Order: sequence, then C-alpha cells, then structure tokens
Amino acid sequence: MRGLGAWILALLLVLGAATPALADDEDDDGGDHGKDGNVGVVLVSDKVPAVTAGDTVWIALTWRAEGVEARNFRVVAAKTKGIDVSYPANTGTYSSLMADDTLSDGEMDFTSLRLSVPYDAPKKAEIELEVTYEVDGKTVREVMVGKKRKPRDEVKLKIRVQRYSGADVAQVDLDPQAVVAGAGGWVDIAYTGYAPRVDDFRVVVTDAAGLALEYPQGSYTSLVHDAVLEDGETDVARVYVDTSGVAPGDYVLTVEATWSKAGSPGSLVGSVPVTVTAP
Amino acid sequence: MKRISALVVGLGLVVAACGGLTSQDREVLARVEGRWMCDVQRYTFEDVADIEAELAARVVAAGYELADYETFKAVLGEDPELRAQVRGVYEEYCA
Repeated sequence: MRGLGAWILALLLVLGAATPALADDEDDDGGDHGKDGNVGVVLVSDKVPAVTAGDTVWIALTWRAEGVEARNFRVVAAKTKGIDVSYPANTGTYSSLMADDTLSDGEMDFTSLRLSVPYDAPKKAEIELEVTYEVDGKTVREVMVGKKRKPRDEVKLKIRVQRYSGADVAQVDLDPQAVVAGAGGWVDIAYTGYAPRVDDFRVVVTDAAGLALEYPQGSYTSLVHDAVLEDGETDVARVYVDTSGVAPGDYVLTVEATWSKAGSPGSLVGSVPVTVTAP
Repeated sequence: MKRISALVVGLGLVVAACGGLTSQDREVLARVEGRWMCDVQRYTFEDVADIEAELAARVVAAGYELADYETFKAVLGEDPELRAQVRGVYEEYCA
C-alpha cells in the first residue's frame, strides 16, 4: 500500500505541474496587460517590406492581444495612396487572422493583404488601415502600434516602392527542335519574365529561313497561357512550321518578341534552331 | 507491472491534457511559431499559397506535420502559458 500511495502521489504531482490547461483559469488575461494599463490589440510592427513598381504581392501584419480576448477581428484599407489593396478570397472585403478571427489574450497571429503596385507608383506608397474587433460583445475601433502604447483609430503604413532595373524578358530553352519533313509540326519559343509584369506579349518570325509558317493569331503568335508575362513566369509562344517539300537539315528561325511595360514598348530578338528530319 | 502501468497512465493523462503535445512538442512548436510571427512580416509573397507553403516547410523542417501544428494552434488558444512562451521566442528572435 505504501508503494501504491507513493505512485498515486507522484501521479498527482505530475498532473499538477504539467497540466496548466486543466487549471481553473477564471482570470484568463495571464497578467499580460500593456504598460500604463492600456489593454487591447497591438500591431506588433508597422514596418512593411519594400515592394516593386508593377508588381503584385502579399504582405503580412502581425498582431497581439493584450489583456483582452479580441473576437471578429477585421482589417480593411480605409485609404490608400499609390497602391491598391485587396484581401484573401475567403474573406473578400476584409482581412482577418490566419488561424481564425479571434486573438486570445497574449496570442499572436497575422493578417495578409494583397498589394498591387502600379508602375507609376510614388516612391512611398501609403495605406491607412481600419481595424475593428469585439471585446465582450462591444466593438473596438482602436489599436496600439509597436511599443507606443497610445491607442490609434487609424494605422498608417508607409511602403517603400523600388524600381526594377534589368532585362524585362529572356528567351530560354534554346535546344534545337525536330520537325519531320513533309509532316510539319509546332515549334515552341519559350520566354521567362524578369520585370514585374509585361503585357501584350507577341512573337513574330522575322526570318523563316525559307520555311513556311502559320501563326495561331494570324499575323503573330502570343504566349500559351495569356499575353502577360510576370516575374518568374515562363511561358511559350508556338508557331506551326510547314515542312512540305522541305529538305532535311538544320534551319534557324529569327524571332522577335515585343511587349508593353507601363505603356512603353520593349523588344527582344532571338533565334530558334529547327532540325527537319527525314520521314 | 502495476507501477509501470500507473506511470504510463499518468503520463498519458498529462499528454492528453496538453492536447496531445509533449513538453518538447510545445517547446519546439513555440519556437517555430514565435520565429514565424516575426519572419512572416519581413517578406513579400507572390501568393497566399506561398505563405502557407513557407509555414508548412518550417513545420516539416522542425520534424512535425501540419496536423501537429494545427493541434498546437488549438492548444495555443486555450493555454496562456503557451502563448507567453511564443511571445518570449518572438521577442528574443525579433529584437
């Protein structure tokens, strides 16, 4: 019995020490009040990463509740300057927290915003956020920012806009493509985008090396996915090569890609090696 | 056998009370979470899916699955000590 009693006592001690979730925690604020008695939701930092003109990106803002349980947490961009803001598809007209719409006292979570930066955005774009949440059924419309404890009705974010400099587009995958003599076939011309975005992308063959060609769009071809190429995106333009009466051998097509970036034209001349094989 | 069984039951009750997380799970996932709360606001992402993918990569790199992280998040909402632990990691890492 003595051994059994010792084990029961040990079990109780283990349970008592390691199960805070079981404790009767009527006062759930954990003593985590803000300084100067201010309680509420804090935007942990109002520093936002720089964005690139012409680009569309998502950013995250991290929040923490202090001394309150904040429910139905919502963030909207009340005003914007030089930038457009949209929200996740599941919320549509506002952004809420990644895990759910509630911040328990001391809990941290983030909201995400989609920023569309026009090519003519100013060097410093601005967003004024409106934040709302509920505490004990009452709507609160102010937050604290960083280490400054003063509650604010609006949160202003200043966003640095940088300009992309470098090649807009590159032709890639330059290995020779085979087309059977007399049968014809499609030839792919692949491009990768480096600039944030180029529009109205078109490709024409300026020197067909004696081969007969057909374009999907009649007088030019464009990218398979769409006529837009964004940074990091690779897409292909296709042209049909008619090899009727063409002798087997190596041919080189000269191609020119053109596009529009922020209303300004761009172009790139390249070549596409084609090997016509015997049937 | 009775002594071993009692200890196993006791430990099992402790783990169950913590949402299935051991103290090591709590410590590791609190570190993942605290650092994530800092890093997520430092970067831009091409798509929302990229945010989720980055988080998933961190959870996996720490040796856990997303289901473990979801359990952690559920416990986090109910456990002020765990929330304080995450904040501690955040403040040390993000200073």
